[in-house]
Amino acid sequence: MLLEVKHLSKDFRLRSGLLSRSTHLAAVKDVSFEVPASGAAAIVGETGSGKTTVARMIVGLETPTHGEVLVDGTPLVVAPGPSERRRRARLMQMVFQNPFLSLDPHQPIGEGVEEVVSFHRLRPPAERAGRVEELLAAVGLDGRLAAKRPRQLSGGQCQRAAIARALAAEPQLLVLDEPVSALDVSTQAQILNLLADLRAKLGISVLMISHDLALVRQVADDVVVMYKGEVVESGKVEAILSSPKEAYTRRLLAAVPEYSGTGRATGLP
Amino acid sequence: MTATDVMTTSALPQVTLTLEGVTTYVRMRKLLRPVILDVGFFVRPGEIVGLVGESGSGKSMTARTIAGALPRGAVAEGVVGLGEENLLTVSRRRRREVQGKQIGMIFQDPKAYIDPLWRVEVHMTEGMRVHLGLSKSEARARAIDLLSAVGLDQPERRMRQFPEELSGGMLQRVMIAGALSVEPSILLADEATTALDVTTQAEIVSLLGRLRAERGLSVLFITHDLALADQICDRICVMYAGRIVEVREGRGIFEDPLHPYTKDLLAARPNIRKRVARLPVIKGTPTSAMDAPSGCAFHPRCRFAVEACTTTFPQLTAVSGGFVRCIRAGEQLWSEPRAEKGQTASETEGNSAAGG
Repeated sequence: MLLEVKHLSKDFRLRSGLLSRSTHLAAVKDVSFEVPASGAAAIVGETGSGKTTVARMIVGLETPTHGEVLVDGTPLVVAPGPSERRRRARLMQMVFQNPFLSLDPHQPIGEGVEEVVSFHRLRPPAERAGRVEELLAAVGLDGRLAAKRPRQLSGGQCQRAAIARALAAEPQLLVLDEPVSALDVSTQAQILNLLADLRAKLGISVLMISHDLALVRQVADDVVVMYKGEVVESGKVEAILSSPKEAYTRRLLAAVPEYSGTGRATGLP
Repeated sequence: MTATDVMTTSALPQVTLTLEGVTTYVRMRKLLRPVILDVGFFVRPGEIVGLVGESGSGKSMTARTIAGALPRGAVAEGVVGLGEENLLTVSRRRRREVQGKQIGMIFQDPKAYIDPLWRVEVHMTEGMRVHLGLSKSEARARAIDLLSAVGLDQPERRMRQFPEELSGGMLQRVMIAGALSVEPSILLADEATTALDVTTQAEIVSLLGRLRAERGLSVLFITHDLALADQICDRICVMYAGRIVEVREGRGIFEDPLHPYTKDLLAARPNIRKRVARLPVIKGTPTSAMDAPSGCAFHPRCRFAVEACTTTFPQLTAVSGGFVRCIRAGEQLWSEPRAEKGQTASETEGNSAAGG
C-alpha cells in the first residue's frame, strides 16, 4: 500500500465568545482507508463531511487529533519540522480547487515550477530550464506560456500550471481537492483526461476530493463516502455507484440529476 | 430575427416575459461592446425556462438586462416585454417600479445578497411594505405563511434569526420566500443552486417545481448545468458567446441535441454510469460575445464547421424539437447516438433526429 490512513480523527476547538467556554467540533471521526501504488481513490461528501480536512491531514497541513498516516508502511511524523516537511513534499503534493488563489499572482508560472525543482535540488542548475519545459509539456502547456502570470491565463491553463508545479517535486501521490469544480465543463474534460494520462505515463497515485459523483466515476477506482466526519461506505467505485448499501449514499446518488435514468428528479410533482 | 418573431408571435396569447432581439453593450475604454446579442425567448405563466451556458456565455447578463441591474454605462436595446410594457423603453421610474414588483430574483450565494445585520423578518417584510403597502402586522403574517410555504420549519423562530444562524439551503429558501413576497410575475434564479450541496440542490429544485405547480410560478432558471436544467425546464435556451444557439422545446436535449456545441458539451461531461478511457473534449476555450469571431461564434471549436461558417452569421432556424442557430441546421451532422445515459452505443445507427 502506498498510502494508509488509520483511524484518523480531528477535533476543532470552537470559541463562541470571549468569556464563554470553548466547545469541540469533531470534524473527522475515525477515518481509515488505503490507496495502492499507482491507484486512484476519491473521497466524496458534501459540505461539512470532513473530506477536505482528511486531505489536509494527509499532506500535513493539519495535525490529526488521533490516528496516523502511513506512506509505504512508514508512519508520517504528526507535527513535521522543516526537514520532515521537505521529505513529505517529495512523497505527496496537493492541488487545490481554484488555481487563481493557489498560485502566486505575481510569479510567472514557469518560475513557480522552477522554484520547486531547485528547492528539492532535483536537477543541476543548468538543466532546470529544460526540466521546466518538460513539466509544462507534460501537462499540455506550451513552453512559451512559462513567462505568463496566472491572470494572463485561462482557468484550465492555470490548473495545468498548478499540476505542473505539483509534479515538479516528483511525488508519488497527488492529492487533488475539487480540482475541476471551478472550471467550465469543456475545460473539465481536458483536465480529467490529463489526470488519466499522468497516471498512465508516470504511474502516479491520485487521491481526489470531490462532491461530484460523475467525476469520481471517471477518475477513481476506489471511493470513500463521508458524511458528518465519518466514513459511511467505501469500496470499488462501480460497486458503490451501482448498488449503494447505505441510505446516505443512495440519497446522494438520487440527488444527481442524470442518475435517475430519465433525468427527472425523484420527488418532483 | 425571423425565428424570434415566430417564437414570440406564434406563442399562446398569454406570455409572462418576452425578449425580442435584445442586445446589451457594456462600455469598455469608451467603446460599446456587446455582451449579449439578439437574444429572444419567452416564458409563459407557470413555465420554467432554462438559460444554460458556460462562463462568458451571457446568461447572467441576460438576467441583469431583464432585472435592470446592468453595470454602469451599459446599454440595452430590443424588447424586454413584461405585461404590456417594454422595460427597455418605459421611463426609468416606471421601469424600477415594474422590476421591483414584477421580477423576483435569487442568486448563487444568498449570503452575499442578504444583509447579515438584519433579522430574517426585516428581509421578508421590507418588499411587501414598500411594494404592496402592507402594514407591519399584515406583512409579518404573510411572511410567516411564505416561510412555511418554502418548507422552513418553525417559521416564527426563523423570523427572529439572523442570516448567519441559517444553513445555505435554508437561506436560499428565505431568499425564495422573500422574492415571492411581492407576488412577482416571474422569478429569475441565477445559478441559485450552484453553491449548494447536491442533496440541498435537489430539495430547492423540487421546491421550485412545487411552487410552479401550486402557484403557477414562472421561473427563468439560469445554470451552467445542462442535466439540472433538463430536470425541471419546459424549454431550454443554450447560450454561447452572448447568443442563443439552441432552443429546445420540452425535454430531450440529452437524447437529441440540436446544435453541435450542445452535443459536444454533453459528451464532454463525465458520466456517472460509465467510465470512458478519454472524455471527448471541445478544442479551445469558451469565448465571450466581445471576443467572438465573425460568422458563427462557435466555428473555431466546431468539428462540423465549413467555410461558410466563418463568414455567415447564422439565424435561429426552426427544426424539429426547437430552434437552432447553425447554418447546417437542416443537415444530419451526426448519426451516432450519445452513449451517455448508460445504454450501449452502436445499436441506434439511424437515429434520425427522433422527432416523434
